[in-house]
Amino acid sequence: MKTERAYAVASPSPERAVHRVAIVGPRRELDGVPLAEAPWPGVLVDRVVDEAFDTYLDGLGGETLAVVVVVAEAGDRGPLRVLRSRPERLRTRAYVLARAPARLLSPVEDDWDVEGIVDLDRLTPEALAHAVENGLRAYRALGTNPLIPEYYLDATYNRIFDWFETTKWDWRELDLSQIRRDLLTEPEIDILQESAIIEFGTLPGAHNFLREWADEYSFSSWALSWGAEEARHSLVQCRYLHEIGIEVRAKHALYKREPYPIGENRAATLMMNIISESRAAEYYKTLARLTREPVLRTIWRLLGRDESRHARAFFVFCKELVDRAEENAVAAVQMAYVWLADRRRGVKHPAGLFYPHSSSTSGLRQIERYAPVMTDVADRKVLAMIRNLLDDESVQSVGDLKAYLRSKVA
Amino acid sequence: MNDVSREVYRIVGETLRVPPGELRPDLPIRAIPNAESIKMLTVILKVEKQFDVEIPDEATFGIETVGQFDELVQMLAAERAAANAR
Ligand SMILES: [Fe+2]
Ligand SMILES: [Fe+2]
Repeated sequence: MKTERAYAVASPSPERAVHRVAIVGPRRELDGVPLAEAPWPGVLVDRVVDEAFDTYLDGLGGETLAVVVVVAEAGDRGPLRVLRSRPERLRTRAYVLARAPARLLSPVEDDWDVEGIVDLDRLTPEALAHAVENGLRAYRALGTNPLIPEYYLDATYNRIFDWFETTKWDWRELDLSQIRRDLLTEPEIDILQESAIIEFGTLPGAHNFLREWADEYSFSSWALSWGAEEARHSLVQCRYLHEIGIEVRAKHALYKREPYPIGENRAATLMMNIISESRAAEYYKTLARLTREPVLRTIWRLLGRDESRHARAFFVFCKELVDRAEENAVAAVQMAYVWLADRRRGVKHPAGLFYPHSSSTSGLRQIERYAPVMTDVADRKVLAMIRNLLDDESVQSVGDLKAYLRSKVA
Repeated sequence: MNDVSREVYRIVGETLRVPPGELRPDLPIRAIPNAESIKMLTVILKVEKQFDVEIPDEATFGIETVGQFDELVQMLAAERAAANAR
């Protein structure tokens, strides 16, 4: 994914580039700071007189400056101000070497995002090397994901958290002892088994999300809570089946265990999930309408509600990416076109797509025959979300998606 | 091979990264390692742009071989040329 970066990184593979460490301070202090010129492979140490720091940064251009150690006697924090006034150097980790560090006021240090303060009077080569090593590790941990905000709570997941939390359902809403076996039909029981098994496919989905989004915490947090909800979808349907004397074999969960390949573009991955959640929502809502058994109706209604909430959540994260870069929009629309236009062999589902031997796809087709308009309803909702994504009211059909893509072909 | 065919084979080969000599008319598209849906969509979009034609959705996902795809584009391109001549 190539989007605009919050941190300037010139090298295409920043982690293999040379990492620079700058020791900044008054000339008379600099030579005394005990750190080798090249203490570790791939790391170079520069010594910079504080008045020349600004010029030094100009000269670096897009080079990686991983750690800055500011020798700050008499409480001078000038170089920190210089460093943090440059947005492209927000990722650089900063340490302060100071005399009597206990007297330093931490809020000031915090404003400049200082990792640590080292006592200049008791400075040993080991203590300094340790601090700089931690700084390098912290620098790598920060990565280059442009969606990471400065403050934890500003991440998208934390902003939409309450909406999810307050719409969660409670197991106490269900009483499996109230099942009216006499109201269930055989095809319905088949479909229930299929649904329980389709839901197993969400587990490799969760594995995948966490791998694909390994460089951030916002969508990853959502993926955890999404995965937990999906696990309930399998569980509740398997427990219902158990209650009526049907046991689901564990092999079905394992058949879907192998994670599918990581997508090329996150917005496209999210679009695939918007569509499958939106279709799953209509699927459960349709089933809930059709069944006469009250407990099952409640379960399917709750699952339908979950799935449409999931679709909207994936949309929020997709929109965040689409708003940043047009190539994300194009990738998302490509995925949408492929999924919405290609219903030749029935509805596609991520699980069925990647696991030809799984029964999920045939299960979906079975229900498609039951309620052929179900998918049309779902897909119309997806098109509405795409209009919002692209901020373009003219997108009304699959053909319009293709027209959009044609206009973007190089 | 006419100009349209040459272009079709060039676009298919470049987009799906198949060496020119290996693209035969009877080659099943699904047998090409890079021919997943998104890549095929890119082929379709490039061809549509190149010849100012519109390839129907059924064909986008239903075409079996490179030759069939070529024939379809030839037909659409000829229709377009006739329409332009009018
Ligand atoms: Fe689900
Ligand atoms: Fe879901």
